[in-house]
Amino acid sequence: MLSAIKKNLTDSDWRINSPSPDFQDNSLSEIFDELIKIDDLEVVLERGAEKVLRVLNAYSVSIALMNETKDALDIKIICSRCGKREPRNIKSFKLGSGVAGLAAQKEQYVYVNDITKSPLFICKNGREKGSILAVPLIFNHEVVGVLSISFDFPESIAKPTPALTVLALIIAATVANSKLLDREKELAKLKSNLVATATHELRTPLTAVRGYLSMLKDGDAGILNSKQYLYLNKALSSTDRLVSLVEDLLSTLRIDEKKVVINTTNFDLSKVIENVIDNLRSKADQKKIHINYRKKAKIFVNADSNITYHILQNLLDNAIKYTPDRGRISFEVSKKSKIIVSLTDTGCGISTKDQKIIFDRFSRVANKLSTKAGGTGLGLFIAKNLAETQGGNIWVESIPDQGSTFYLSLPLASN
Amino acid sequence: MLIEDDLTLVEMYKEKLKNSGYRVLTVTDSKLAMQRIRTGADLILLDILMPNLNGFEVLKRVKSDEKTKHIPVIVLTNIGSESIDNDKKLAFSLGAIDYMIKSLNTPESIVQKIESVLN
Repeated sequence: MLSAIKKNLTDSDWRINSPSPDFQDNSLSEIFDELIKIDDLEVVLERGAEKVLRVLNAYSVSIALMNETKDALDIKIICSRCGKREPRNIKSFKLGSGVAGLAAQKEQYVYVNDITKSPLFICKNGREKGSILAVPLIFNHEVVGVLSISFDFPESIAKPTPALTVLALIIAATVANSKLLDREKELAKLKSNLVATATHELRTPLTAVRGYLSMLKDGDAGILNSKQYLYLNKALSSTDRLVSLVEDLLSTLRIDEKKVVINTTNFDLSKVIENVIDNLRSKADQKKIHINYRKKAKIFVNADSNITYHILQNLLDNAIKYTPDRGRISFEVSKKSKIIVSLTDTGCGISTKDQKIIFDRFSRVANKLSTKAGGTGLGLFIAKNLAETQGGNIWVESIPDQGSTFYLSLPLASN
Repeated sequence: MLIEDDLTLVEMYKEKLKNSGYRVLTVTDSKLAMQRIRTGADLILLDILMPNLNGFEVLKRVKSDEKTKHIPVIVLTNIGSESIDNDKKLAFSLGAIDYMIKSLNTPESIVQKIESVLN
């Protein structure tokens, strides 16, 4: 709808032939472009009122918007030549009451030539003369508000000019657009709260399942026989997958909502790599995979150490999953304009076609190891987003059946 | 002392801690937490999302009370994240010594953390 209006404005020859020097060079399309970019309804109204004030050289311009119950108009902005001011004696009009209320009810403009003689003019503000023109703001066949223009003298503009009609339409469209954005924001907030609550509610029973299973494994309820131990390990492994899924969903939500908090410091990357390897060594040992990292001197980077740990853990965990038994994984670190960590495996590799999608959310590459490896298809999406959030990047080079190298770049340590 | 409103988790952590040789006092109504904490504790495991009084508020009160401010507090919660979140930052700024996500830590790893804090 908005783009259709804009096209009409752009195609039209309606350029305002106003004596106001400020306006001669501005096309309506440019005003539309300016207003439609503004998300904040208050700013839209202020700018819109200022434009009308300047174009028509009016005494004052006010915009009132229809309330939620659609039975009254609330004055949102009053702009006069002296600047913006708050409504004084009247802050809203019932539908049908006052010049603005009548224009909204009739869905057409109302003009009062002499405010001192008309019972319609209910905003008694001490003015001794003048006229007022109220133009309904209609968008999509719905009155969203009223634009009221007060002039110093009677017989100023008795009916909306084509330019004023279009300006009213632009303001109506931007008001409707802004309300839509507000509603979208409200919905996004609702969704966010819902997912946060759902995450908590999922985590809590998982805590009990995982906790009691691990207590059984630790012997808190006595010694288990080998079959009980085997079954328990399978149950624990599936619970761990469920825990990872919930965590991945939560991280994805935080990325979507730009709620990732980065605490950037200078830290030794070698130490983080060693911690990641230590944490996953037993998993690699189960597949007899050799992890190679020849530690150099301390390598300082400027990033978030927790997030870097999270990213590298994800990359190493993937490498272990997709590398066959007795394979090799090696870490290398090099210094260029950034610090580059490379992680090379002797895994099944990734085709050129799949390399393009592996960082997309929920993307999982089909190969002989992927079914066994499991996963949500969120890990690399999360890792790449986290890397970018702290000023780095992740990319991959791979040859199918030979292996892959994942690269993580991180900013150099600041002095 | 364990301040936790989920009775299944209270039972689980209490059992594990008792098996590991600790004496455990549990508080399931956070409104009573301060009163109980003031009777003495070597360490507090504190949940965050609780009805009436949330864990951050309890933590604030523990750390501003002369009689209790020396007690180490480990936040044990299922909200937020251990690596990328503001809740952890807030807990540390209020004086917590650690922030653990319940679903990511087994009762055994919580016992290990308690041991490292108390030793």
